[in-house]
Amino acid sequence: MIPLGWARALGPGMPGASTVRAAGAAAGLAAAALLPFALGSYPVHVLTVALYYVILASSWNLLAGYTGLFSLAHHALAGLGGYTSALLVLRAGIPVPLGIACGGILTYATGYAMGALTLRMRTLYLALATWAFAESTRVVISMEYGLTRGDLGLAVPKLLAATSPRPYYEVFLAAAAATVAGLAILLRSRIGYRLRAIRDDEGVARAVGVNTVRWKRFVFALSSGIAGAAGAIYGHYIGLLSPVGMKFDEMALVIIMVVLGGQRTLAGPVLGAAVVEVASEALRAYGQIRMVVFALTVLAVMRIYPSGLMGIARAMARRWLAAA
Amino acid sequence: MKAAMGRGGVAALTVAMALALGVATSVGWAAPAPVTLGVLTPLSPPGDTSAGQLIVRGAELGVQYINTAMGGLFGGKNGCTLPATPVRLAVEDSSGVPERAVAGFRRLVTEDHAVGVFGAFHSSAMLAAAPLADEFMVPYISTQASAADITRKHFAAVFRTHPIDPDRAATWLGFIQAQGWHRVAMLAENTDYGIGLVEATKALIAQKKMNVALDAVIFDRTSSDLTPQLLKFKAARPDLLINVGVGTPAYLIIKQAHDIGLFPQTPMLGSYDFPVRAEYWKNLGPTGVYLTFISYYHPRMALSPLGKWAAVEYAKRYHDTAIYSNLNAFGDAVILAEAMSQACSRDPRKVIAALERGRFDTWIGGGATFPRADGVLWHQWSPPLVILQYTQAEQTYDQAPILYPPSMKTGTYQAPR
Amino acid sequence: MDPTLLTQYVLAGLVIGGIYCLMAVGITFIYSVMKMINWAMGEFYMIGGYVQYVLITAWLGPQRWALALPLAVLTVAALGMLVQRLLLQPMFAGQLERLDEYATIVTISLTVLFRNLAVVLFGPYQFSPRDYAPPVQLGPLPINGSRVVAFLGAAVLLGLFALVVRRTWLGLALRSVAQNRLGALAAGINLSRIDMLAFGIGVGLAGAAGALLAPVFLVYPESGALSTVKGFEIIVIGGLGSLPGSIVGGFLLGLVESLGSVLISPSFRDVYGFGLLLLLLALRPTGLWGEQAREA
Repeated sequence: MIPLGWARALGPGMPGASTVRAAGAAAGLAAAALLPFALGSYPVHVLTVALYYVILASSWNLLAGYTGLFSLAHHALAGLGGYTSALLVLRAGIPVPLGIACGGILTYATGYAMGALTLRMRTLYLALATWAFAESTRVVISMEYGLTRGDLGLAVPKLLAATSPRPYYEVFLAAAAATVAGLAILLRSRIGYRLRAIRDDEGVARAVGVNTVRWKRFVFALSSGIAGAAGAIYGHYIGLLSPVGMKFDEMALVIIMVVLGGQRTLAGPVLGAAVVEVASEALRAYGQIRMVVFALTVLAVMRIYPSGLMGIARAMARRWLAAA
Repeated sequence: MKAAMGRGGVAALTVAMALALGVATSVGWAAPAPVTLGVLTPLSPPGDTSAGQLIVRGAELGVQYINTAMGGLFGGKNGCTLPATPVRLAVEDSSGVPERAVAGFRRLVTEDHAVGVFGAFHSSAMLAAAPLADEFMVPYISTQASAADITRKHFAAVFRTHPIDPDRAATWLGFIQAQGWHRVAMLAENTDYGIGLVEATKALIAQKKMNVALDAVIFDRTSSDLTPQLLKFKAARPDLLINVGVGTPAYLIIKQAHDIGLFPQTPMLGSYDFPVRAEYWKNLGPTGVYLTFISYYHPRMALSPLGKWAAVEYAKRYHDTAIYSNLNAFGDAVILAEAMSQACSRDPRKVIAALERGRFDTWIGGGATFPRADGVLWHQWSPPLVILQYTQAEQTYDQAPILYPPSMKTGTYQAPR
Repeated sequence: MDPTLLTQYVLAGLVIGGIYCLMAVGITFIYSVMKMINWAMGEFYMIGGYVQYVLITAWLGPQRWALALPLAVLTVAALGMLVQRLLLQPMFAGQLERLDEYATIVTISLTVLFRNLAVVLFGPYQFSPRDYAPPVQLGPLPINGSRVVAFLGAAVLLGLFALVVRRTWLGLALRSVAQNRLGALAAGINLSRIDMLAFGIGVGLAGAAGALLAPVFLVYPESGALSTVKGFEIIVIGGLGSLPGSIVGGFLLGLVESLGSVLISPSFRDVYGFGLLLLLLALRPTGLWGEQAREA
C-alpha cells in the first residue's frame, strides 16, 4: 500500500530509490521490446492483446483505484474511441494516426462531460450512471448498423502495412510504457496527492483547498482519453470492430485484472492484465471453467488479501529482505 | 517503498515473459507426420457455443472418415506416390469475437501447422481472420458464416460451403410467390445475420420487381420482450412473418407471437433450421405446431454415399440424429482432404489451387465446386435449401412435409383450424 | 393512431411493468438495509429460473409448478444468505475501507462466477417449462397465462413483503437498521443477522421473479441480464432505496418502452429506458422518490 500520510506525501521522493527504479524499468522495457524476436507470431499476438489490457487496466486504476471514481464505462469508452477513429478514417479519409488522436480526443471530451455530470454522485450512483451510459452506447452502436455495420463488424484499415503482430506489439508496448510512466509521474506530482486526498475524503480535501470538481473532471477525461486512444489502436490492429467488445463482460474482465494484480499500485494492473490474458489463452481448451476459476480467485483475493498479487509479492519480498 | 514499486514493475514484466515463454514452448512442438486440419469455431460465450459443439462433432467425424474409410491421405490414390498420411484435428475457440478468431487462426497456422481451417459460424469473427488466411495462404472454409462480405471481398484463400443471404432470400421469396402472398413482415435481430437477410430480401424484391411489400423491424438481440414489435405486426395483418432470430430470440418470437394471437393465425417462417434441434419441442410444446422453416437437409433429399456414412456413424458415435451443422463440418473436412489428394500435396497453396479447380464429393449429391466467380459467388458453393412445416406436435423433422421447392414438394401449407 | 392498438400497448406495458417491479424491489430493499448494490441480482434471477425448471421437470411435474415456486425462492434465498455470510459480512466487520467498492467488485465477480458456472453445469442451451396457465383475454389484448401468473405473483409477493416490513417485529428491525445502523445496534438488534436476512429476502425476490418468468423469457446462462438491466433502470428512475419509487418506476418503464415502440420506433425499444434513466440522472439524480444523496 502506498503511504498516504499527508506529511510524507508532501515530502520529496528519495533520489536513490528513484534512480534504481528508473534503471530497473528501462531494463525491463528493453527485455520486453526484444521478447517478440524469441517467440512465434501467436504468442506475440497474445502478448499484444495483453498490452492493450495493460493500458485499459492502468487507466481504470487511475480513475477507480487512485481517485475513487468507480466508473463502469471504461470498456465502452475504448469501443467509442475505436469506432470514432475507424469511421473518421473510412468516411473522412484522414490518416490512421490522426484518427487515433481524434478517438482519444473525443473520449477525453466524453469523459470530461461524464465527470461533470456525475460530480455530485456517490460511488453507487456513479457506477449506475456510467453503467447505463456504457450499455446504451453499445445498443446504439449495434443498432445503427447503417453507419457501424452492427454485429457484422466494421472493417477497419490497419495502422501499419505489416500483418505480422510484431510491429504492433512494439506499438502497444510503447503505448503501455508511456501510460504507466505517465501515471507514475502524475501520481508522484502534487496532482497525485490531490487525487488521493479526494479518494480518501472529499470533504477534507475540499476543506484543505483542493479544487475537487476540477480534478475529478480532469481524471475522468484523462483516463477516458487513454482508453479511447488504446481502443482506437486496437481497432486498427485487429482490423475489425464489433460491439461484442462493449459488453459488460469486458468491463468485468478489466476489474478482475486490476483487483487481482492489486488496486492502487502501478505494477498491479500490469501484472493482472498480463496474467489474466495469458492464462485465459493458455487455458482456453478448458472452456468456461477458467472464468469460474478467475472469479473465484478474485473473490478469494478480495476476501483474504485485498491488496492483490502485488501485495502478496511485496509481503514476500519484505519477508525475504528481513531474513537476508 | 518506492523502490519496491519499481522492482515490482520489473517483476511483473518478468512473470509475463516467463508465462509467454511457457505458452510458446508448451504448444511449440507438434508431431510432423500427420496432416493437421484446423477447426476455428465458437466454444465459449458470447459465441453460439451449441453451434460450435455441433461443428466440432462433425469435424471429428470427418477426420474419422478420412483416416478409416479413405485410408488416410495420398498413399497411391490418384497416382499420388506420397506415403499414406493420417489426419488429425486441432480445435480452437473463437468465442465469436473478432480478436479471439485472429488469435485462434494464428495459433492454428503457426503453432499447429494446419493445412486448412474451417468451422466458422459468426461472420464477424470469420471476417477478422480472413486476411490472415490470405497472408499465410492457408485455405479457410466457412462452414456456417453467411455474410456476403466473406466471399464478396474475393480473398484468395477463403471459401464457403454455406448458403448465402441471397440464397435464403430467393428461397423464401419463391415460396411467398408460390403461395400468392404479398405482404410480408420480417422481425430480424441486429446481427450480421439478421441485417444481412433484411438487406438481401429488399434487394431481391427490388431487382425482380416483385409484388411484395416488406415491413422489416430490427430488434436488439439482448431484449427479451418482443411484444411491442409483434403487436405492431398484428395490427398490420401481414400474410407471412419471417422470424430472423438466432437461438433464444427465435424461440421468444414464436412464444410471444403465439401469446398475442399472431401465430399461427398468421403463418411464420423460421429463417434457419433451429426447429430440427432437440430443444424445439421441449421449449415450445404444442405452441410450435404450424411453423414453417428453412432447412438445409431433409431425408427425402438424396444424401451422397459420404453423407449416408456420416449419418450412420454419427448416430453410432453420439446417439443422436445428425443435423446440418454436423454434416456440413464433416463435408468441409472431407473436401479439404480430397483437395489435398487431388493436389498430391500438403502445401496449403497447392490445396487452394486444387479447391479452385476440382469438384468434390460432400455429404449431399452433385459435388461442390469453388470457381473464381463474380461478386458474392466467388469460391462459393451453396447446399440446397428446402422449406418444411411442422404439422403436428412432437413431429420429427424427417416427418415434416416439404413445402418448397416445387421439385421436392410433399405437402401444402397447412393453416390452423 | 388506432385506439384499440394504443390500448393494447398500454396494457402490455402495464403487465410487463408489474413484472419489472418485482425485479427492482429486491435491489432497492438490499440497498436500503445494507447500503450496497447487488450487481449479481440478475444471476440470482437466473438461478431461480434454473431451480424452478429442474424442480418441475425432474421431480414435481408441470402440474405442480405452484409447489415448485416457494421451493425455488427458498433455495435462492438460502444461497443468498450463504453468499452474504461468506463474502459480504466482513464488509461490516470494520477493517475494510471503501465498502461500496468492495461490494461492487465482489458482486460483479459473482456475476462472472454464476454465469459461467451455469454454462459449465447446464450448457449454453435454453430451457423452458410449460406455460403455467392458458392465455387470458384482457380487454382487446390476449395475454400469455404465465405473464398473468407472474403479474399476480408479483402483486401477492409485493403485498406480503409490504406487510412484513410494515407490520411485523422483523419489519421493524429491518426498518430501524435501514434508518440508522448504529442506532439499531444500540437498541440491541443483531446487525449481522438482520443483514443476512435482508440479503436473503432481497435475492429471494429476484429468485421468485426468475421462477415466475421461466416459461415467459426462457432459462439460459445469460437470462439474468434482462433483470439486471431493467432493475437498475427502475431503481435509478424511482430513486435508490425507495420502495414506492421502484413500483412507480417499474410501471413507468413498462409504459415508456411500450409507447416508445409504437410512437417512435420499435427497434430502439431498449434505449428508451436508458434515455429516461440518463435524463433523470442529469436532472434529478436522486430519482423520483429517492432519499437525498449526500455527496462523497
